[in-house]
Amino acid sequence: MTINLSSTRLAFVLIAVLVLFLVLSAIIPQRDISEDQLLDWQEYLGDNYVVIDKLGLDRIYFTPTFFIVLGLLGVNLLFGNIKRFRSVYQVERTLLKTRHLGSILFHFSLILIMVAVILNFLYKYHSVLAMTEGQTLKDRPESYHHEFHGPLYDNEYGRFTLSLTDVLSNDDASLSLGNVAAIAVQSARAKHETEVSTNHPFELGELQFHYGLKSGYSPEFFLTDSAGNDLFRSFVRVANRKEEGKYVHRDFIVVPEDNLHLEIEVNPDSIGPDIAYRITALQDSVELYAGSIGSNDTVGFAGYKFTVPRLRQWCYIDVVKSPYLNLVFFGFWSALAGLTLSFVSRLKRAKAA
Amino acid sequence: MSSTQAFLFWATTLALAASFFATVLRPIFRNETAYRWGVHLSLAALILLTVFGAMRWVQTGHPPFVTLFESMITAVWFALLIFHLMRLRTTPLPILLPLSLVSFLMMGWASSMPTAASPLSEALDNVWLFIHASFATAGAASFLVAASFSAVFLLGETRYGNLGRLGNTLPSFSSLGRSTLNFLIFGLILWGVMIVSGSIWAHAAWGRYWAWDPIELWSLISWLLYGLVLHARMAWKLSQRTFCWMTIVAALTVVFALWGVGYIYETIHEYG
Repeated sequence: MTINLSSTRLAFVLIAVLVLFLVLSAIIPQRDISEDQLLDWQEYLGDNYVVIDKLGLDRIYFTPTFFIVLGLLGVNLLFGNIKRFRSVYQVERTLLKTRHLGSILFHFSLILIMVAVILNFLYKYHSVLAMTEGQTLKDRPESYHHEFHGPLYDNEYGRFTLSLTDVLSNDDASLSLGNVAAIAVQSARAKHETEVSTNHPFELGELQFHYGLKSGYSPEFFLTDSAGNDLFRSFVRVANRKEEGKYVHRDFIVVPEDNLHLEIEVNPDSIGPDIAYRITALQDSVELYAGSIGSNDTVGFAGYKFTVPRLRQWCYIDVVKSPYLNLVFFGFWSALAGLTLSFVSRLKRAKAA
Repeated sequence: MSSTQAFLFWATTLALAASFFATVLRPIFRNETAYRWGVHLSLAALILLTVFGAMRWVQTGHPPFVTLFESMITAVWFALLIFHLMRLRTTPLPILLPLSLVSFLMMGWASSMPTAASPLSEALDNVWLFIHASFATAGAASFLVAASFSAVFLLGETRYGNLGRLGNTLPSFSSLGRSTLNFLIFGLILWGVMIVSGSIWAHAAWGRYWAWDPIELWSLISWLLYGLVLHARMAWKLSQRTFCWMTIVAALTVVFALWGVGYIYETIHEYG
């Protein structure tokens, strides 16, 4: 059996396989995309999860098969269109008719999009800084909460120092979570004091600073033992996640020397000036204390003293470089222009007939 | 939702239900008067929905396609608008039968969603929202119209149609196929603009143009499915019947992508 690389039937099969991949990835949580759901799946499936792991179904977009399908689709698009338009040209001696132009533009734009997406993937840089108000971080590998760069990205650091001055909200009095970050970016040339929010990034050369997808409360927790020694003193970035349709702000701290485990949750009814936290203290899995504590309050249990002196907010700041993005978007628009041209020409032909 | 808005919403829903029942009478009793009533009632539904949308726009300060509830009624509005614009050129149009039924069911579904109107949040306050959301609802409406043409074609092929109940009220089968294809390609363009504008907006908002979010993913799946339908039609010279069934299945994925995904997945498209 021979495979005709330029055939429409092959295009059908490849698109069908691509759809199948996408449907599978929509059903099975993917690594680096939906980690929480993936953990649930792993727990639920137990040993059977090994089948998904072996087949690479939890990382479909990084499997060789996926790349092969995309590659074949690109080849099919290229060969199919060259063959198709060559035969049209041999008969009509022109490709400048609207219906040909539309189809050419659409299909070659798809090739352009694929090339631009691959180039962007190879050279892109996307990192996440998790910052609490008042914190300053330097552009160093250890500063990043999460970092991704394409295989051909020329890794460089020391480009800036970033300070998160303030996380502002539309209604500061309520202490509701902010949505605007006041930042100061110090580069080799200048210092920029600016604000970033969703839809309004800050650009520094090729880098963009975006207000990240996550933010939350960052209270300072202060724990001392009976002798007054500091056991823990730090701003804790309380994790913010959605559970059963509601946002919860919950986290924990551990004092290994004392085998002490403190569960902390922002009391959802207290969000406002009188913000309060529910805490549960466990030592060797035995509950020492369970109760509520407000800002500037101190509670004592088993010789320990626990205080929440200050409250700040934290947010993610994404640092992004997407060198070939404009080419991707150009491909998008030219594909749509081609499709529209084809459609208009189709309507004209129908009218003429 | 104010009491006036609630009245307009339910009046629209009832008008669509009445339009469907009046339209059903046409092939059963070969009653043209009932069909004309069906058309008038659907026009009344369109006017009522326009007033409803305008009131909501004034109340919230943004076009009514931000929440799931709003996007669903706007899709119904677009579908009715397409039908009545087409009616100016072609009469009688047989798709009112499935279209009024689907519109009625969508209004019913919308009534089960949170109807609260609110101003735009910071994340949504962007010009791309209007492009992205309006093309999403218009694209969905176009696919629903294509699926309606397919449904009429399939209905005409049944024993019911062969008995002549529908036969003399239907346009030719080739004309139905052509209309299905036209609205499919038109929907493909609108849906494509929705995906592209969404990715441009996502890049401005979060620094990533594609995040594999479930709604993004299912929108791409439905776009590719329509591409698959077109390629199958070309490669195998599909029968009209198979083509129509494929169009209906693809339309179901569009409905799922836009309004069903939120029931199953957590998504960054949390707008209602």
